[in-house]
Amino acid sequence: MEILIYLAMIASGTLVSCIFASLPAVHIYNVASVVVIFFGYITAKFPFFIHNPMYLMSFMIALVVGYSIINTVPSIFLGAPDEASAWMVFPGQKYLMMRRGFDAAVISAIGGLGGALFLLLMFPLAPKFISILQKVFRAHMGWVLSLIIAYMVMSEFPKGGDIIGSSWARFFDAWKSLSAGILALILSGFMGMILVYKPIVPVNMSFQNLLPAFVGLFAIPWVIQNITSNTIIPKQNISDSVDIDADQITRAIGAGSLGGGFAAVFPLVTGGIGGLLAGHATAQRDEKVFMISQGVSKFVYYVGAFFLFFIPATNITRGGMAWMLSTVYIPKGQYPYYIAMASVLISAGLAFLLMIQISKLTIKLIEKVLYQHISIVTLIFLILLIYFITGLPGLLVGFAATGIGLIPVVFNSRRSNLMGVLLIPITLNMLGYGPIVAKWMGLV
Amino acid sequence: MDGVGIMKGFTHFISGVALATFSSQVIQMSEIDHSLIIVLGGIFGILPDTLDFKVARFFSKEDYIISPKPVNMNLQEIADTVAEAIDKAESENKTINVKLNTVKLGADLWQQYLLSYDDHEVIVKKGPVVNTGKVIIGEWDPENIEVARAKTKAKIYHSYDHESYVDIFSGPTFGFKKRSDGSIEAEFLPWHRAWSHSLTLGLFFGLIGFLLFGLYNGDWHLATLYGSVIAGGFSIHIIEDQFGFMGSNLFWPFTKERHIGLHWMRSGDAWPNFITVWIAVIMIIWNVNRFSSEQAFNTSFVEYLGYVFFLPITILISVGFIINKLLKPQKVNEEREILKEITSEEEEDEN
Repeated sequence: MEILIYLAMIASGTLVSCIFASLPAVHIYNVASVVVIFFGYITAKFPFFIHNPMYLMSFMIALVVGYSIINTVPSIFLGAPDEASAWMVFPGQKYLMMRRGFDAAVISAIGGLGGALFLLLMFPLAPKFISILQKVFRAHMGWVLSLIIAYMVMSEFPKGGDIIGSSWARFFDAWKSLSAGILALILSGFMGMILVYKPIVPVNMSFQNLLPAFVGLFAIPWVIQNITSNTIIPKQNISDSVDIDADQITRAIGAGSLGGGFAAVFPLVTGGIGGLLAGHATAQRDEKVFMISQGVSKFVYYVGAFFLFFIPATNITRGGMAWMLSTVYIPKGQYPYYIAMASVLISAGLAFLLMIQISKLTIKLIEKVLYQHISIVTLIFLILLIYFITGLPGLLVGFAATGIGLIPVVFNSRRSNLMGVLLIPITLNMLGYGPIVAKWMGLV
Repeated sequence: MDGVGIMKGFTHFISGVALATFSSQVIQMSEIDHSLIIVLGGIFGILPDTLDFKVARFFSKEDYIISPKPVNMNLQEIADTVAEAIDKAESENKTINVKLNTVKLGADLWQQYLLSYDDHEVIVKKGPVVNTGKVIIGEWDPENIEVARAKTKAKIYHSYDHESYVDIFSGPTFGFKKRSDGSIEAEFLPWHRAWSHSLTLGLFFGLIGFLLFGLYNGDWHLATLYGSVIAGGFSIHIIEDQFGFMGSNLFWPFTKERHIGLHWMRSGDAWPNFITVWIAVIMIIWNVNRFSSEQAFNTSFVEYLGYVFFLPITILISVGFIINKLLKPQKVNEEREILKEITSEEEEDEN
């Protein structure tokens, strides 16, 4: 009976995530917060929850697993990526324009399964290694985050510079995109400082504090681009198989696990940054390896971070899901760890199958409705989402963030620079310069 | 030319960081004073490529620019122009740079062509149509391809690779210059790994760092540390590049030529890069742990390597092997057919 309840929880969690992950910019953390709020109500109606909060645990694991696999669909087909997906959208959209959006979604979801495999391989080792790793770097996070910022700035490749003209003309042409990237990093960093020191929502809803910024920086500019570019999506091909070999999968799992694992274990390093590192540890020319590795990275980041919470005697609360679950349940001993792993594997398999069906449905949608109309509806949905969750101040933040988010779009620079919204304030705080800069900005 | 150094960038960056962590004082400064000295290792680790790809590249002068037409591409014209440039380099005894532009066919379609050299001959072959991911689009029979040849008076010495692909983004530049034995060297990307990839320049940057920090802090011992991290990060980049084909001008300005690489790997090879990154990360963790005020683990280096290198590598190889066994032959042809269809439609649009 107990097993059946677990299976029901996993299945229902995956199904719920399937619905919400298919909507652009709806983060599963928002859904989970509603789940936790209603937990009291549910336990009153169904008393068995009181005796075993691990059912809730399995449900929430399924939510995050489903999200990390299925959210690829709106990222690719509706052009509205979240922060962790923004890095992989370019090849995904390219595949979409080549009638192979379905392939792109499946390839990236295979990465999700690869991520689940990685977690399974890490399952016996994690209790020992993770806590050691955290202890090693506990006092060193300032320079680790500074390294990421330095690498983001220095590794951007100039676009342009191939115009006919003088050497200086070519130089300035190439540096347009590089300068825009640096500007986007600095401006998003300023915005991050403002949001950290003058939050627009109460502290206990801190994830919501960043929601308008993330939606404005990453999702809305992409949707605006879709509307203004008059994109006509060609009829999509639904193939029976994808051409991937073992070498590609192995390389992608290795690279994605490295990037996603780094993001999952290190506090404040996001999935997008993990994706960036995964991308750079992978052969750039192979788009399939790249997309799989992004799928692995995203899965390992979201699910792996939550999974840390169940490691026996460690219970690291990393990420929104763990914080929310910790308010109602703290796992103890080996048993929840095993149940958590089983939940991840079952849910990942289920989510993969659902993702295929949702992709097909979405393809039908974009074939019947003009892509611009879908994009306009998406834009309205995003604006309403920000308004209902964070109110008018959030809407203003969202508009300002959109302005910054459009810089990389216009100048064709790297969008991951927009992660300065998190990286810069947190790094400054870690290094002890945060309050000084905040004072200089008039925030304290 | 695309991607030369892109992926390696992260490898160089993390190698510079790893090298910096071998100093106990660097780790202690980072832990206690929140010093960013380690970051300098990474920055100077990637700097040589930054100088080339973000600066030097745009100031390279081209004597010939070859821009083949997408329709009825004239391979003979390309071969003749390159041969003319080689003979000009020989007769005028000066370096002649030739830029070969790529041939863009569509939003994501490129006509590839290949350039190679024999002793007295320039050979240009028409390659397949590829997308930006370098995936071949449409039919491609390597046994039956169009070839053009042009004879040169001068003997050609090609230092980099047998065949150079011209396909995506911007094309490569070749610098033709006379060698002491009278032959003409075809130097791939003459602006790359020249002055910027010099151990001497690394020492110079280290010296600048030493002086700046010394004058600013008055602590010359600390200044030595800063100078060493800078010079070390810069130099490890040059040393790593030397394992490849192209090599670097190791002692510019005292030497003028690139020292040929060891030909052990290519800059874009995935596995060597990945393994290097992995080893660098392993060494960073080991060094940070042993030099920090509080150790998170106490184990021998051999045991540590077993856990974090040999075990994961074994697992990864085993997973690859299992996946390889499980995967059935895929329908490659189906994919090719779709791509072929797209190509033909794009061609129709072009016409």
